Amino acid sequence: MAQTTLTRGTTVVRPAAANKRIKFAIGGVVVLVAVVYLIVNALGTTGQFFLTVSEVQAKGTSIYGRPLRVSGDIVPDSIDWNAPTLMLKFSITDGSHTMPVSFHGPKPDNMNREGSQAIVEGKLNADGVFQANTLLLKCPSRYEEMEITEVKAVQ
Amino acid sequence: MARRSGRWLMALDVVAGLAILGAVYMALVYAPDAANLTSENEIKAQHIFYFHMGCNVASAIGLFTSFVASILFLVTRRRIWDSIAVSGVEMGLAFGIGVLASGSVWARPTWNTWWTWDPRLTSAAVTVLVYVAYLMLRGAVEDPGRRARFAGVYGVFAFVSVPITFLSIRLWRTIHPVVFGAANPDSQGSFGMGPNIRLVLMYSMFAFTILAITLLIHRVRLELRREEVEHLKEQLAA
Repeated sequence: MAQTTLTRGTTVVRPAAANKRIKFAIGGVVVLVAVVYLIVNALGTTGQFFLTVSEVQAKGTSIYGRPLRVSGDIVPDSIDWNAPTLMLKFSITDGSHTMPVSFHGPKPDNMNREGSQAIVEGKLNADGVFQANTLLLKCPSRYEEMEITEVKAVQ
Repeated sequence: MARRSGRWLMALDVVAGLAILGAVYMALVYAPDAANLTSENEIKAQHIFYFHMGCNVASAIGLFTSFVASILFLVTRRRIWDSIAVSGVEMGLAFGIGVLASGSVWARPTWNTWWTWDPRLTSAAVTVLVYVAYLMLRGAVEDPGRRARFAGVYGVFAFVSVPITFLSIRLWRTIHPVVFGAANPDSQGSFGMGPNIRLVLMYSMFAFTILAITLLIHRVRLELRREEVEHLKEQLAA
């Protein structure tokens, strides 16, 4: 209630307060634009964060050269790493279809883990090889403990 | 009366401090390394998990408190609820930034990237931005009564981002694991962990809950003091 008497008493428009309000309004608009951009960007062209190998295969030739994100299990024996040239080749599979991937860059240390899954970003070339410019790995679906593994080994 | 509540709060401070020290010990010393990880960095980074989940709980407590307090303010128009709402947002935001930062550091050796715009990371980042905007809104409105009303309405709607973030990994394909409950089957199966790892996780979330409640009480008290000072200044000016 003291507030109302105060605002009525001082009718002088304070430029500092108006300035502050404009600053906050601009900041608010920037945040709003950022939020909308992030949501639209995340929905992407496919509306999914990634496609499976089978979904990519089903799209046929129309998808060649377009930016894609594909996820699949890394085929363990397929990893071919050439350290001097930084050329990493491997295949990913979803069980029914397999896709060869080529990636130029350092090989992640945790790639050889059993049951490793990758998400690759890049484009599918006409020769059927996926040219990845980003290689992501998923974390395992379980954090095992040493004791349990040892017990299993004895049995 | 004031002295008595001060003593209770001091006891709570000690409990929260010890609980968090315990969580640090549990996470870094007691918790076993995950045996099925292969890279040294990933094994070390896995221990971040306990702090990431702890921050997440603390953030959720803060933001949920602000949601409830915003509704109660709009219903009762009592200023105390507005004070609790802003306190909840500030604490939720601080721990929310902790969630993003700890997750990012964990992700570098685990996912081979600091950040990716997957549904969970995007929705979490949007939540943080939505609540940054809450504080900006409060900063932009001078009159305390109007500020409290605007913030109350905004605080109710802003909370929508929290359940969306919670559900994002359960509804959509994502790189992010789902620690509790079933995941989206096309994305990644449900998550499991060994008994000691689970114990440390549970303890850490409990410790962060105590810390969150303690900090929230302090922040509300601080807000009440701040309002008292504001009020006294107005009286002096008038």
